[in-house]
Amino acid sequence: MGNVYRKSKWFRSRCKVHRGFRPVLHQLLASLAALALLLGPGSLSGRRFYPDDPLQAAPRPRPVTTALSRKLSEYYDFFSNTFAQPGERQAPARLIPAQEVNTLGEVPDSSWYTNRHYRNPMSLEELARGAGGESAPSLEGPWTVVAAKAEGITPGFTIVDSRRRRYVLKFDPLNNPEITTAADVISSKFFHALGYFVPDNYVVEFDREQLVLGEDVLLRDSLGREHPMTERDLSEVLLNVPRSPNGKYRSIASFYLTGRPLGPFRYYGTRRDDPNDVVPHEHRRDLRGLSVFCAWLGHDDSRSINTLDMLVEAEQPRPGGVVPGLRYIRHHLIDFGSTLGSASNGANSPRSGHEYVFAWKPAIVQFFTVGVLVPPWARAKYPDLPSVGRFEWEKFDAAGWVPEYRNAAFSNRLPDDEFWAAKQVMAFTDDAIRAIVRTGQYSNPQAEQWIVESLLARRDKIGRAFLSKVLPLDRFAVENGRLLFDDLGVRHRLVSSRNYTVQWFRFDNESEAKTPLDGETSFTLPQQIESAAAGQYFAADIHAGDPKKMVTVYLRKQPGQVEVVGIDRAW
Amino acid sequence: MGRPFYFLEPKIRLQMLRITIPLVVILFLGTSLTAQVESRAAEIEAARDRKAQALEPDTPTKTERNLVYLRDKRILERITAGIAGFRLKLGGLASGSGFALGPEYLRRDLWNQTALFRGAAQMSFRGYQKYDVQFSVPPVNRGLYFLELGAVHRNYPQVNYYGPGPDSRKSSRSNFRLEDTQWNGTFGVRPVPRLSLGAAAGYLLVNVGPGTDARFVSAEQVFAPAEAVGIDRQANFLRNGFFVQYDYRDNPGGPRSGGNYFAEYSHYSDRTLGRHGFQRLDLELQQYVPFFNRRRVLALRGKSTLTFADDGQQVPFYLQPTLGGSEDLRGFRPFRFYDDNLIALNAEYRWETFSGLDMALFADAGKVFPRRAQWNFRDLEGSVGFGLRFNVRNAVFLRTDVGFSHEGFQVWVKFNNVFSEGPARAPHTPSVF
Repeated sequence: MGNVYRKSKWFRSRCKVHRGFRPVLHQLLASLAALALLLGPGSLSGRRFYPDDPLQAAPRPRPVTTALSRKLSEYYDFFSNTFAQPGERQAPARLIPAQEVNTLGEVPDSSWYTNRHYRNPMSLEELARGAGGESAPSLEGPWTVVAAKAEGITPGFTIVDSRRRRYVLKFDPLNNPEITTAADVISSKFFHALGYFVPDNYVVEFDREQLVLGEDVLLRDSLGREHPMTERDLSEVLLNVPRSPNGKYRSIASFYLTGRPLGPFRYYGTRRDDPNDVVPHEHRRDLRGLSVFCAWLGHDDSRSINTLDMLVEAEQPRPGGVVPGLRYIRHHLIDFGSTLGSASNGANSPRSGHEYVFAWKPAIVQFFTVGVLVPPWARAKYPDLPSVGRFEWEKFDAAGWVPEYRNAAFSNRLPDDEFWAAKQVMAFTDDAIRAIVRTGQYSNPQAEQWIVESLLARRDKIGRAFLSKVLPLDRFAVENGRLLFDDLGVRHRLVSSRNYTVQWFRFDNESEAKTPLDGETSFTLPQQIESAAAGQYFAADIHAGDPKKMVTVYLRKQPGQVEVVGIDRAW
Repeated sequence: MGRPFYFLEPKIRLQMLRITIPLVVILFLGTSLTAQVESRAAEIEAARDRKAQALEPDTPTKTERNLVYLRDKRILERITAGIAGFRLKLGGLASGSGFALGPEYLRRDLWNQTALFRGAAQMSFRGYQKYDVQFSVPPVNRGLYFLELGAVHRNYPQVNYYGPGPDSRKSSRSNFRLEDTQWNGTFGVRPVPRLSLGAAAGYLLVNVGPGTDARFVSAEQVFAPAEAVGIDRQANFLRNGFFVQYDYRDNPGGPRSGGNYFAEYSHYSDRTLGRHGFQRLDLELQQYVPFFNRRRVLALRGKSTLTFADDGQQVPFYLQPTLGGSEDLRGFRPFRFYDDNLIALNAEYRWETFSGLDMALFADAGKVFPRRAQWNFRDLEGSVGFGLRFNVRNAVFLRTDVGFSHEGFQVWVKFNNVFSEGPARAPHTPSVF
């Protein structure tokens, strides 16, 4: 039996069953509290669709006044995710659909996510521009080093350019010129186009003279002791970074995010000090689907420490009802140096994306088979291109891809989450991918070509893996009395054609009961819909061969029109 | 400790339900009556309302905060690095010495961090002692030259001795005290990356005495000076020589590809007795053959030591090449074989079980022999075994090996790689510990 999700996934809280030996009183109180949440107004309203469905943007965020900056431990994150299961996880008997999605299964614009390339295809220029594209550090004056980079594994500085704009400079490892800088810039453009908030990154080249040391800059040595940074310190950092053939230093200049940093977000739970953060992160579709994007770009370092919450004050109206002056928390992905075959400090491990850093099963298998059982990824072939590292497509397993260690949101993803992400990956044309990869400014055309080819092939593998798990019908619309849709499997040539069957229903929005409209089996809207009063709901079950895979489309009659108001997918 | 509800007595359960059900009904009705919503946006706002009423600082757990503190303050690095240059040093004594530790003073920041000074005193649970000081200018930051000055005093009270030659019997195990002091100076250049050339000179004082391991007889009681040359009287030596090394391993801390080849020539001039002058040639070839994307490695090593006694003189037993122990014949006890020459071959097949652990199957072969004409691969002793190589950041920090031979099995726990870094007289980075 396939899985069918027909309920709105907005903020459905759940009562966790307590199985431990807890005091009865605690159990009862917990149950009562959970019931209070479960019986929230949404579930009591007794209707499937509201008049404002499908919501395209989350309501205006509540102002945030008390959020404090805090650090999270990467070790804690690793151990808790590797040896425990934080957050609420899927169970075979009780799958938890994604939340923070509208009735069409799309992620509304919010402080987490903005629909970009898939909803409204971006031009090649817009794709290449990324999150900003017009704020590269000025070379007209010196760059003042105001801080040494303390986080991460690559050396770097914080600089202020002559226009008083602040950037983080990060460099490539000595033996792999361009690998990190190119990856960071390229991936930031992709993640921006995919809808996430990311830094505005630039590849820059400069002479040593471009850098001047600011006043009272402190440098932490390997033991964490701070001492005043000297010109010699500056030079020593530069001694260990590669130089371009023209003698200049190449780095990435990451424009400082606006706002006050509050530390990373977790891939499970919510921020307890953010009134707008009400959906457990492990159930956010934009985070579950992120796993597919990370697989595509080889972002195995997609962990908590590479995210950043910023307390921002809106300067101009934004989607989602954001008005100037409103202070709220915006959630960013940062630091894409470990993507596209890079590990930031060199080429990535061939294990990357195929196995976790540690997992019991493969470790035990290897332990007892004396390594005779060679994992397929160990046979992958990589180009001899130092600026590429280990990035390829032959052994890439889209469905089996994993980050460095377990991630609650990634682990919770379901086929409809994957579909949501895969259709966005497939929306990048060959030209779009080339345009973005070009922003990495590889000096070796072969490197650029390899990255492009890898991304094209990995994109297609993602399409084959995830668009086939569900019936991949999308972009439903009603035009000229017919229900139209886009079969992404056909569009992307994963299948040549399909024969569809459709069954129409009258849909009771209160009881959610479906009453068949006999004899209506074409995509022309039944007469009952045309003649229905405004506010009536109808549904169409669409199959295409596989009885488990079904799409149910919900229509609402409005004065003078019929609109698509909801989509359910079964697999 | 309370019991789950469904394990309670039926009567108690009934009583609780009488209280709970009305509460739930009140809660149900109360909530629905006061918070009916008419739009999706209102539903979201209601959820935010509930959250807003329960806001609290998003503080990590105490464990997590402590881990953040550990990282921010570099506590582990500081413990490793020590306090004011002082730290704990583990291991580093001879095989068979038992677990050793002691204080070490290390400064890497001399001369604008281009020079290093270290001094250490160590003792093992079996009474082995080692005191050494070292000043070196390592070839860092693309440096062309390197220099090392050092002095070492060792007092090893239970060094194994089974008699000379490849045919010594296991049952002949005895022990002796080896006490020596040496001053060494090394100067070298790196004309091209990976290639090191150097010269070394030093003075060596040796004393051999009765072994303290009561389980075995002391060597001088069973081996006459004719068998164990120099056991009656020891000499002091002026030692000089040169070495060459070509090292293109990908990662010296945990090599997976490349090679490391070196040769060292030394002349030991007996300055006190005039009976034990000799020349010594050490050759070693290491090759790391990766396959399956370096997740499998064949590590091969061949080494040989040949000695050339000066006219009418003999190599003293305490300076003879030895075989057996954690780094060559791992199925045999440390210092199992002594003679004027040796040859050893090692092959390890290593495979990655996960990022922090490689495993190894190994085979060792080797022999000692009195005459250089016997330099061949006949009559080799052999051992096989398996091991674990724990690594952090691609560098092995702990190695355990279990070796089997016809003389039994040996278990080794070491804080180093199985194959040496380079010539004995060339400067090497001190161990992390």
